[in-house]
Amino acid sequence: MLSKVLWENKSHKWIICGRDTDKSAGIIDTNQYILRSGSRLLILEPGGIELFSAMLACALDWAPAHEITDLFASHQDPDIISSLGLWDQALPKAKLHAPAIWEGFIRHFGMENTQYCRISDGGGDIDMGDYVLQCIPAHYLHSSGNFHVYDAELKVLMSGDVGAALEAGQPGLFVEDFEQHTRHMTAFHQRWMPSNRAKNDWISRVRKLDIAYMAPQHGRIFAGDDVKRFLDWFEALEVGCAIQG
Amino acid sequence: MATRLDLADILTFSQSYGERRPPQFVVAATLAGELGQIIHVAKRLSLSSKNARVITVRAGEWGRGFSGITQFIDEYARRTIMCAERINQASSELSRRSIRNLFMDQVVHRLARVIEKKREKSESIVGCHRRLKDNCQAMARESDAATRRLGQDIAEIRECTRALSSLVAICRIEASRAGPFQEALGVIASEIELSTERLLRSVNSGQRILEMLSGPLVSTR
Repeated sequence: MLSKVLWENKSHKWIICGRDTDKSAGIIDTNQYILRSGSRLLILEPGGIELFSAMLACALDWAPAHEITDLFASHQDPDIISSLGLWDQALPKAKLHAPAIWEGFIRHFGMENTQYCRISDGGGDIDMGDYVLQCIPAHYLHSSGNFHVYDAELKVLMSGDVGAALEAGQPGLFVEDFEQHTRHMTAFHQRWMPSNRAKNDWISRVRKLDIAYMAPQHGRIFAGDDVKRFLDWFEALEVGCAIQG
Repeated sequence: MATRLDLADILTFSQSYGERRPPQFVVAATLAGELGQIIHVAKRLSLSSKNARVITVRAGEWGRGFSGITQFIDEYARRTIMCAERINQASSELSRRSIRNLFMDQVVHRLARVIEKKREKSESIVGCHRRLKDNCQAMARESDAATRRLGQDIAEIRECTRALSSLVAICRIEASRAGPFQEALGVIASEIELSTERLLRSVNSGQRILEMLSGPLVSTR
């Protein structure tokens, strides 16, 4: 599994883990993000069961198990957090930050040792000691209880399934040609994103943030002007395409 | 990139689970990461030895003494790399296998509860339970054997490290006899010493982590 530092400042660094060449065929490729600071490590979107052993090895490259203190799940999907039961066994005292409305559902993945930190519908902060992250509401994009993570210091928005692209092979980490890249995003956003109203509400909220990088859970990362290009493109896109009649 | 665990870190890691034992799959993955460091250090050692060889060629008669040692350093670095690669691969595999065993163990316990609660006499359920339980036990035995092999590989690295420690002293003596090349070979001797000390620390950490593996598989029930 690829593991690479993307951005860093004095307090913390962002590391991407993904492009796993050993994963079983037929499993969607996912980006996991690790945020490492002094004595804590946070994993954004820890991933599915199938990915767990590779992801654990990756995380242990950056911190011993007892310093892996926080997990974040933007929503309840299996590719986001079905590995929870294993993380729960692996980590001595972790917190899971996840939408409040999904607690009863996510606990089905197995939680005996992990503390569930509910994120209420309006959002909130994740205080990591050396820095603070904001949970930005992204409900119905695509899950009915959904959050993105904004790092105001490094100007990074981890945008979950928004901005996701389904691209075969081992794509690069960053979008290089935005127009070309839309070919890999269109069908996904049209089908997985159910509500134009929710989409536009999210866009107006996100436009107020100062974003240098938008990092989705699948596919390539948007940098600089491509962030604005994405928001414009998404705004113009009609979503919820499976509704008939 | 990777974290390095000193003995205090390992103690904290072990104690952080409280009454639980650290799960075998975490310990094995931790061992893989820690011993993975040895590969980098041993490669650096091998590079230092190659640099020494270049200097001793230039030094001619002055470097003859040091030159003889570089072959041995290279050989021990090579053996260390081979063992560390084996450990890295085997402990990663052990971690993956432990995760599979954990799943299987959970299924065995759930089936046992079904059989107990429902007084289930269905041949298929009872048979499935027995089969999976046997598989779990077989996997546990394989894990024990893999752990023993890891111990043997760590012991071999320790042997190499001991030999390298002795060679460091000889490097220092030969560097001091190298006349105008004394300083250059002295620097190389220091690099070799530093790498050897790092190897020793990693071996000690690896040994401590390995000791955590020598228990039964951690069950969730």
